[in-house]
Amino acid sequence: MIFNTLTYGFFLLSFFLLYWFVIPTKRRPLSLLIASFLFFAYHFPLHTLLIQFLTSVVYFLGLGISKFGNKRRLVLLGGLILTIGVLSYYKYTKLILHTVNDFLTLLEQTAKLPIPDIMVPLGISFFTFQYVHYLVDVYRGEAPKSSYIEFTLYVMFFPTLVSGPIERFQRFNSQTHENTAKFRKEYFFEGSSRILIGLFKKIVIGDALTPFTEGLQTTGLNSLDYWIAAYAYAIKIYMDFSGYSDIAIGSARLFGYRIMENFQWPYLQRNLSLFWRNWHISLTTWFRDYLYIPLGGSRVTPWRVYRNILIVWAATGIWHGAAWHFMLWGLFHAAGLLILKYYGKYFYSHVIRVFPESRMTASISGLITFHYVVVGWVFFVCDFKQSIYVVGKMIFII
Amino acid sequence: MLFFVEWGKDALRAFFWMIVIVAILLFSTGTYSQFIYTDF
Repeated sequence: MIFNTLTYGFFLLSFFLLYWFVIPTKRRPLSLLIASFLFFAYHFPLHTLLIQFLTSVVYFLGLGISKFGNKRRLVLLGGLILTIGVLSYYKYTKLILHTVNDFLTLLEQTAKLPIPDIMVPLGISFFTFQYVHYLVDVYRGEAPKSSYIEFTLYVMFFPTLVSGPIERFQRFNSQTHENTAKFRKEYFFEGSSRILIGLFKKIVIGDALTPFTEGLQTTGLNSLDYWIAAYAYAIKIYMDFSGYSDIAIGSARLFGYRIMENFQWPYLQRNLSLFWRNWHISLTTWFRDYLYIPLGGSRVTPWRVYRNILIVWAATGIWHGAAWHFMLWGLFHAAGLLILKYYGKYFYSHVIRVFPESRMTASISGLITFHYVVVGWVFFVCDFKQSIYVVGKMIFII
Repeated sequence: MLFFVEWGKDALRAFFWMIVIVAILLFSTGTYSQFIYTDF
């Protein structure tokens, strides 16, 4: 089911009434799980089997990790290969085959690899990250013991199943019994108002901006037109995704759950690092905890930090979509963060000597950050060639 | 006086939500556009 449909509204309201006023307290987690299966199976009944299979395997591997003394690492590795392997198969097979075919064309070969028609299971990018987080945390001894139903509910929980926020198991599971015992009227008021705000952002602002963003896909416009389209897209993608997160957080709240926030005024931040600490927070903290820090984070030699940032942002880029321009977008942000990290202090110390830190300097750095992000969105939304063309036009005012 | 302040706040809040709901209804065309971040 998709959030901005009447079907979802009907499903949500009827299940809300059943959940609090018909289903006995003890059965609420199970009923939420059944509702989540219905939610997922509504569009893709076959994929429900896949997600159920993966969830079961991850749960049993989690049990295995805590049982196997010496071979824990091997069990973890098996779990990571399986979950990331399935994600890669569904998401990246076509991209790899297309890339090979493009090389074959370059080499003037007529033979081509056949491209299979693979349908991506809804939300696979998100629930795979929940699996990885769970397996690693069990390995580190940081995830509490849980029942099969509790873990499956964590993965399948319908408000966050399709596009996050990528909630952490510890936070979620502690609420499964605490917050769902008794109905409180603030659950209804907080949840429904958050959903309305989300729908407003998506339908009234985000969707209404779509016509203004279409210029990005055309050629021959002037620099100003491309800038206007890029601004429109920047606002649209924020309204679309933060609106989505609002609906997810609000829906969860209706059932007593408090899910982590995903956005905190990202466009009003003073630098790119702060932007990323406030944009899609559940994803950036995931990459920080499960990729950046395991690679050594910032506590290694400068060259390795440089390498780590590049790896993390290449991965963040390609996670967003199976096309090379997403990686370009990731690397564009990596470049910005590296410039900030290594030259920022030097630059700031000189600027601040002339212009002391004030609201004015903060606003100017905020504006520069916003514009860097806006240019970045062009790499995100246009394909490889088009994005280079449009960014060229925007920057060189041609 | 306090009564009017309280009433004014409630009325403003109600007005805000009314605008939000009416706008959502007006802008819903029946064709649902996909969310950008969803895998398809």
